[in-house]
Amino acid sequence: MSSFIRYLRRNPSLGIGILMFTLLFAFCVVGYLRYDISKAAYPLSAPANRPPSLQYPLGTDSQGRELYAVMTAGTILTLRIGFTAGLIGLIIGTVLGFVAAYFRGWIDVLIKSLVDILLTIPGLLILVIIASATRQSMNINLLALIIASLAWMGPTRNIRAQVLSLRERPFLQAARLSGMNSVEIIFFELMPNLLPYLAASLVGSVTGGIFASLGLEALGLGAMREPTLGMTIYWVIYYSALLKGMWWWALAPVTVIVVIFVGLFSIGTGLDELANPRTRRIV
Amino acid sequence: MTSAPSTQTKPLPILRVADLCVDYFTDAGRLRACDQVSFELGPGQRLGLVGESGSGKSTMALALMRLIKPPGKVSGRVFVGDAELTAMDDKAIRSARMRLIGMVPQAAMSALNPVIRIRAQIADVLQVHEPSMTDADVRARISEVLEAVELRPDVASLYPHELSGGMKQRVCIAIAVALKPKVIIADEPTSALDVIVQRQVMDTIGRLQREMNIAVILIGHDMGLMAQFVDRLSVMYAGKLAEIGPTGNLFAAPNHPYTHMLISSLPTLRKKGVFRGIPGITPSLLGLPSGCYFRMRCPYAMPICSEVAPPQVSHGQDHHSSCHLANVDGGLTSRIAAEATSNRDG
Amino acid sequence: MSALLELRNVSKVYKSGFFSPKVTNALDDFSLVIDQAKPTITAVVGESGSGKSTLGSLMMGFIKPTVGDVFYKGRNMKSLTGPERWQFRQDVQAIFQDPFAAYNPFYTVDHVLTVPIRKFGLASNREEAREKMGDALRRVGLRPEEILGRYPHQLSGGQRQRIIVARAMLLKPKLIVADEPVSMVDASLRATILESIYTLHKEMGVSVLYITHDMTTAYHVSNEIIVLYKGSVMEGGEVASVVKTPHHPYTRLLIDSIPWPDVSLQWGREPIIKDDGSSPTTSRGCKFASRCPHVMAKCRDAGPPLFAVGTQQASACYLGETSPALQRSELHKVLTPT
Repeated sequence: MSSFIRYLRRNPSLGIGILMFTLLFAFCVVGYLRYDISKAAYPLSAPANRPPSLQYPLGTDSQGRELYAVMTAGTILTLRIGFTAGLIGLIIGTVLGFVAAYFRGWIDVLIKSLVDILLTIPGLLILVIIASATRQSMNINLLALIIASLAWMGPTRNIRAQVLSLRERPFLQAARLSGMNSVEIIFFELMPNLLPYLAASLVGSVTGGIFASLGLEALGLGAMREPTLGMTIYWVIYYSALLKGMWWWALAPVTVIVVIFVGLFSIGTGLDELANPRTRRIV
Repeated sequence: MTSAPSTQTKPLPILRVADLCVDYFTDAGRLRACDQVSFELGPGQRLGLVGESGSGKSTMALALMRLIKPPGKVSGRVFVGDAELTAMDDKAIRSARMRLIGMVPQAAMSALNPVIRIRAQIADVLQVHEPSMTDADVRARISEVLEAVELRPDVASLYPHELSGGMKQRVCIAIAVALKPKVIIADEPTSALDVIVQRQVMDTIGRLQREMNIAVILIGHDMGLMAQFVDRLSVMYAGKLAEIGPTGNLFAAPNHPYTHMLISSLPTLRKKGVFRGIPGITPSLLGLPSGCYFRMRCPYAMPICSEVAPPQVSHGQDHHSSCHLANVDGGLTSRIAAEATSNRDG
Repeated sequence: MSALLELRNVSKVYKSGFFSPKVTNALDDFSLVIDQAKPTITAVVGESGSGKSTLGSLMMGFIKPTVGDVFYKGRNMKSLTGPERWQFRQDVQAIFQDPFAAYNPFYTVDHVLTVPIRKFGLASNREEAREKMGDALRRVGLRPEEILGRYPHQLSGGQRQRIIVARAMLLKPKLIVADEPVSMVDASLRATILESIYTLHKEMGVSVLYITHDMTTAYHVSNEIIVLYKGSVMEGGEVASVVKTPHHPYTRLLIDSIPWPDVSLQWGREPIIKDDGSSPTTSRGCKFASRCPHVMAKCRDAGPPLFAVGTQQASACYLGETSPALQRSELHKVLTPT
């Protein structure tokens, strides 16, 4: 434990990130203990338009939701979307990236062309079109899948590049000479060296996923009934909360979003430092 | 080809190094990369500095140029002619570098800026260290210096990737001699080059050295290259100067066991199939043994070697070594002879 | 004569660029036979661009020839069955140039020893494996207790390279392709590592293909030598004859440029002529013609065949045309007397 603390002193970004998420975690735990989320985060559970007070710590919104409960539920839901989308995107990206870079030849050309073509298509546009088409049946998981469908291209490219650079290293030739076959080499020789990079990529993916979900939800294309952070912003705009002077309604989701992003960004920077040449030699 | 033979009266040394020490203060303790190194170099002389990784030779080169940054600390004195490099302030040393003492650093050809033309890279050195030069002067000097290293003047408008390895290295040499310094340090100038190109580049350095009367310190690990090129040779081990003297003397009758074993381990045309490596490994600079640093690997070690650090002993003709055997009757030479006889009989 | 590995008129061509492809002949019409019954140490000497690394990769089965065939125990490599490929892997091993890059930095150095033991079934249980690893490490002069369990960056270059040699010893292959095994190792350790390779050959009957640019170590450790230039064989034969009495102008130039660690042997007697670019790797004439001080008109028209200029020496130069000519595929006859 003490060596971990020492490491955090050398890598303050990681420390800040972990701190942010610890605070969020504590916030949500209090929320769950205090409220019955299944009711309090949904409309008509509290008097509407109340400013923050002892009884309603973050105030209430125009549809009668307790904002503290909404934030608790919203944080979890938004993180869930981001994480699901990011993870699926990364897994697809990893598989495709490894296969393309390791086997080269026509499969590399195929995957690379596909990725390059799809990357030129404006993602938000596609997301908006798909989301509008599935408006009626939109739910959290569907939203995550839609976002994931366009999130895999970046990771594919990055991981392909990393594997290409590792591919020529003599230790892979040595593994071949030792009798390992391609699958074993990918899993036991290449993958371990890429784990720090994959972890850093995951953070990037998750961040991108959350961004996309917030964007879609704020436009009104999310799951309307769910109290996610993005939907809260949507309602804030819909009900012209700021014009009516209900500053607490806007402040709550914005603060939480800022904390999430600062946390994710810091962890990402911290993991970057981990992924970078610590394995380089010092002769 | 070696330079002109030395006259009876020694000329004033162009480079004088006295008790140079380089210490690194790390979390794990004080690391002495260079320990009390002293030597002199006459004008137009060639000195070779041989050592393995961790011996301190590159560190010493950087120390001479005052390029050691914290946590490294340099003590001791370095003189080029009358100028004391170690006593200069930042402004003075920046002007002295490349003007009094130049350097071709290790892997220099990989350090050429890939997006800047050659002429701009040479001009950069001239303008930084001699700001009084006019543009016309700079252009003239660039052509002059490219010709000196046997490159066509139109090379100036090329980019580094358009040149071969040998040509890039010549450009680095050109940069080092652009301001006509009195001393040049060449750190492994030919390690990445093919054998034939290596000979060409060394010939160029030799010719330049004779024409401009520059003293050269050649740093490397290739004893063969030293035998072909330098007049005097010094051997470093674990930060200390083990032996220094005329090249021929070191090869014919070394006075330090490390020099002797290094030379014996090299393949020559005469002895095929005989392998004589040096057992053991170089000690870590953080955990140096007491007394003589080489004693753990030395076949001639005596009890005194583990107690007292060996003093520097002179063997005449600018030949010094740091070994207790020098104070023993017959020294290293008789030990080696005794070994040879026992090998024959046994 | 049973051949372990035979290269028959092998050429490897690389094309680069899409619109105006540049063709490079990395290896041109190369033939060699590695005998199974009589293990030898053959040095392949050349500068960068000579094709020696391509040759190494071809012999290890990492790349396929563009023209010509590689035969393993009489069977064409292209049509080897699974079990035969497996046997090939066991018979042909390598020692790498970079003592650091040969290790996966994620694992300890034990990994390079345990994986082949496991894959090739060299030990039936953990204890036996550890014992074998310890033995092999001791054979190369290392102490197992200081080596096992460490990470690559915790050991010195010399130690790492010795472990690679120990690995080769463990596998007891029939042929080892050593590509510049000591060029990145300190001078004082080179002799020790070369000695291990030599021991491997002498005591275990392993043939070694020693690829290097360093003629001095090649002379020191090998029986025969092949000199490559721009993908073609310039000269070949018994190593003492070739080094002491070189025939081909390129070999003469190469040997003259060697910095022997001997003050009485000065370099630089042969003049170096600038390459005028008239003999790229794809030319039909002699590849050395653009730099040769003895070049004749016929040298540029057609590449010379091998002439047997000595009992165990052949040179691909018209200067030796009074001697009997050999086919390129008969190079091995000059290397090992049948």
